[in-house]
Amino acid sequence: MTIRWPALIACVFILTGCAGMQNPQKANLAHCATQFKAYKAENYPLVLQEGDLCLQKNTLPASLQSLVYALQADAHSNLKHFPQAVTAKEKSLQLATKPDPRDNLDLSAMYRDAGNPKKALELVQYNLDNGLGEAGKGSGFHMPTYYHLGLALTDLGQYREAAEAFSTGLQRQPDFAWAYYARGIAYDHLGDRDSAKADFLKFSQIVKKKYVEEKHKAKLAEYGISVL
Amino acid sequence: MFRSVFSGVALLAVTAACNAAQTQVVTTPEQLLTEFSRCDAHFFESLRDARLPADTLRLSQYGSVKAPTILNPLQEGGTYQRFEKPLIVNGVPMIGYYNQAQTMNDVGNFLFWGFVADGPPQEVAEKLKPLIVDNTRFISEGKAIARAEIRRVGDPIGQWRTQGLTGPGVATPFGFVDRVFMVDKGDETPPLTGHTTVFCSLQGTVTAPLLQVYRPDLNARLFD
Repeated sequence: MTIRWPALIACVFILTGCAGMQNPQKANLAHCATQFKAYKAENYPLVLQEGDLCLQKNTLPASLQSLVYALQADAHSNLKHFPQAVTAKEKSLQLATKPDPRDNLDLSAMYRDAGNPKKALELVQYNLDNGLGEAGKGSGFHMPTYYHLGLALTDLGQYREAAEAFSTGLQRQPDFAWAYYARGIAYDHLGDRDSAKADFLKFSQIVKKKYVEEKHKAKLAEYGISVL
Repeated sequence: MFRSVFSGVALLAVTAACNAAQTQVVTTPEQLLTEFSRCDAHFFESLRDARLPADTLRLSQYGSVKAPTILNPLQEGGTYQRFEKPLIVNGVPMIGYYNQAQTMNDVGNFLFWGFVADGPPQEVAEKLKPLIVDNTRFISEGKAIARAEIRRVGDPIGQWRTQGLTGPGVATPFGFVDRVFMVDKGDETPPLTGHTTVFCSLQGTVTAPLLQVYRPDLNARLFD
């Protein structure tokens, strides 16, 4: 889940560069700037705190409110407050002047984390039904869409459909390690250990090691694969 | 063979899952053709125990199913089996079996498999129509007679949509698979030239997980 950095940088400049502003107004807007800086520093509790103050003490245009909520959603997600992440992201999307299809994918991930894969699937299907590719309407679908589609299907127990979704994403982006891992999980559930092993092996060869967690290593170990 | 570009909102009717049907024991060529017309694994499953006239199809074991023996569907010259004696299906002489798979960059994967028949396409189609599953949708499409459906990646694996189809002539959009049962004039190269083809095809974003279900006679990773 990523906030679109150009929007973030623009907002920081807008909120901190208003030289003609009175001091109380500046102080109130400083909470918003602090929220953005806290986000860049990955200080998620501060993101939440300053975001609340930013919204309470200012009358912001809808687009900026949307951004504040988006940052809070990401913060909640990183703090594993999944239902709160969903709520904040929904608010962000409601306020967005031009919803980004990728926001639906981010929200889909949050719904999965919150234990609602059905809603997660609906969000991805909404993008598919409406031709909302990651780069906008009509731009076509690529790994992000199919990856999130596959993850939602996996959580719903539709493992073959999930494997198909990951395979489709890999046709667009053959070097995305996590699609191999996820497809390996789907194959594992299907009892296709040969295919699962092939995917886990590929994953172990191309993944950036610093992102591999203990649970991934444990799964690979079941297949006699180690991430060196 | 290309399909037309799919456009517009994809709110489509969904067909009943053909895979839900039980595989019947095939004791006649007509029953075999019916199973074949599903364009799924039923044909290959039914060949396991099928009782067919001698000297027609030569079968080989492919994993847990049987299929007409073919050298290599990916290789020109390895895609056809000529029958010693025609297999007569409701009066239509089937003289061989064809099985081809190919990939076209930026367009997708194509699989064609089925029978090569003697007789004009319209006549062959008329004689076979009563045997074809879901034959109300088996209709003329230009010079061919076809029953088409489409599936979007992520749809339940056994479900196909019957609306919003890509018509003949344009590539299947990425993320979709066209499935077609078609009777058509054989193309200009041997062994099909001068004959009529009675084919199933899968075209588009055909992946290994799909092939595992629909083509158990193949190595599902043949396109990887």
